[in-house]
Amino acid sequence: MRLALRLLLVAALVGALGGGITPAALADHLDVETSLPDTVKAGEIVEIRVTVTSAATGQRVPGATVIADREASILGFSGRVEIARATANDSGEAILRWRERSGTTSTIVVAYSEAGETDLESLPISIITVGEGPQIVRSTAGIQIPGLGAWVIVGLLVGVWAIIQFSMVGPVQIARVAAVREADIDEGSAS
Amino acid sequence: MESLSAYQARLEEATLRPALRTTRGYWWLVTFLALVIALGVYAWTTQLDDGLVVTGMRDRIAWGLYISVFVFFIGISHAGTLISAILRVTKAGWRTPITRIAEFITVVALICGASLIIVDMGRPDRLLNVLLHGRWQSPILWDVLAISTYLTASAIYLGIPMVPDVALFRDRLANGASQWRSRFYAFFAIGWENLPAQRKALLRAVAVLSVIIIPIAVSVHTVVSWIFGMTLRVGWNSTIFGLLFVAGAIFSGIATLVIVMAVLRKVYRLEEYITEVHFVNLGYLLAAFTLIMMYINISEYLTTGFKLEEGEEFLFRELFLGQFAGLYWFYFLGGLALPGLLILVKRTRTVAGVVTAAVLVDLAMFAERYFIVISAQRVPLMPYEPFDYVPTWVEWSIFGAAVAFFVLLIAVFVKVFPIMAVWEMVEERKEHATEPALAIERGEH
Repeated sequence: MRLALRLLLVAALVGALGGGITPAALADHLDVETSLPDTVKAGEIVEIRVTVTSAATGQRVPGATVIADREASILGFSGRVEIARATANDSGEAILRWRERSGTTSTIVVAYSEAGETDLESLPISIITVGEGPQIVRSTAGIQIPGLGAWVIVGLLVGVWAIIQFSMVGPVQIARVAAVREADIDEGSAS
Repeated sequence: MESLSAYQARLEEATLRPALRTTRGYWWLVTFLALVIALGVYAWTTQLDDGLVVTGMRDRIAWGLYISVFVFFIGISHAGTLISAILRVTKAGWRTPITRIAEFITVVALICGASLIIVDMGRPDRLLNVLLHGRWQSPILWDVLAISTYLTASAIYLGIPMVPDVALFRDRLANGASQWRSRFYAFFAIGWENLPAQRKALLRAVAVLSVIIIPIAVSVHTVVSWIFGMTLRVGWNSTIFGLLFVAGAIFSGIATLVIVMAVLRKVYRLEEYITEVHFVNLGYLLAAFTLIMMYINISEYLTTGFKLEEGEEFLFRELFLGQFAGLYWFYFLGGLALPGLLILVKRTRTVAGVVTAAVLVDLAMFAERYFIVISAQRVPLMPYEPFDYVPTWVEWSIFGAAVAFFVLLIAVFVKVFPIMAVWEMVEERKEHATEPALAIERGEH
């Protein structure tokens, strides 16, 4: 009897510990539909509409959390980086929005969960980005003010150097006056 | 009253004196400076052999003592611009004995400052790439263009008004000087005979240069500030950096001029020409700039500190309470408040008081350049530990060599060129001479 009780206690402890360290299985009870753009240019805003529905009933799931992330590495560290997050509205629709900074094809994972749940279900989607080749960061084009550009600097520089050169006319004139005077003296002494 | 010709004769003697007599102390000074420069050259060769790793700079703080000293030297180069150009344009008569010294400080400081940029480069052999492959959008290229333009304009601005005085040296040293020296003066005097047409050409050239050099000088230090201001960094994101740098440049330029003036006045006994009035007038300018600098500092730090974005808090702690607090408070209290008081209080408004204020200002402005450059780079851009930058012996040696080179060039200049603008001082004297004095001069009494 005592042995049976001990075995029962050990089993309960093992069970409790096992339950604590074993990850909970992902609940596969939600479905999502995504609307993907055909292509995205580096620097453009990407918008993905995600509709979350219950796998069991087919009903939309309001309040569901939807996250987009992708694999990234910086300074030798790699991992998944969250790029957008949204909450489904009353119609179970969420819009993920971010500025695309990568110029290559990349796989983005959309992860989602019901409101209040922490377990995430995921769906990999592929984004094809076209543009001016691979790059990590693309800044915005900036503001183009008509008539303002590098030529202003060039013009300014040319103007300043022209004035500096003009000032050198002074020493040239001084030297010329001296040369003329010397020539006059030579002429006078010769005659 | 003393006749104009007697005044001119004594003035010419005083100007010629440094070129004619060389004391043993002078040679000791030159030897000492040469040794300091030699140590700097050795340090630089070490850096060229082993790379920038022999400095305290690393990837997180990539601009250190060299860039701080570069900014400081470009700053003091504004001495010539303010004293000479602005005072010449505004026809301030008291400027004449000190313009030459001011103009020469400008050229020497620019040479020293520009040299430090080359030293800061890991691969100085690629220097020309800045021009060959430079981008018009880059403040670095703007900086190269602005400094080279300013150096050229300043050298011409130093040279042209010096022509009549070099001609004086040519004539007075004709018999006593060596052949190379006679040829040297004859070449730079460009045939000056004080003819009316020559005077007209000279005055016109000086007038054009003194106007154009003011915006060039302002643009130089503005562009230097943009190297920082256009870099995305906490502490450098400022719209008034240009103003701060230009005001600081003029401030330290005046201070350096006061110090150099005091030394030359003492060594070459120029008390008659460089009088207390010059020190006090420059002192008033210094006092005005202490207030301007305080205003810009308070305006800058209050607006950013009021919002205190992420990163700014770190910078402010470092600056006001942390690693740079000693330098900052010395700058603000010792370099702005105290010099201002020294000049504003009548009892200390003397030659010694103004020189003391000038020394404090120069030390403080050097400290300011240092903490502006370094403290902003200490703010982490990513979650890493802030890097502690400490200059190594290589950097200190090169810094010492730069200062020694600056002093050596001035020492050589005073032996070769006239240190005072004799012709301008005589003109000034003539304009302010009273009628009886002129009558005596004409022999009418």
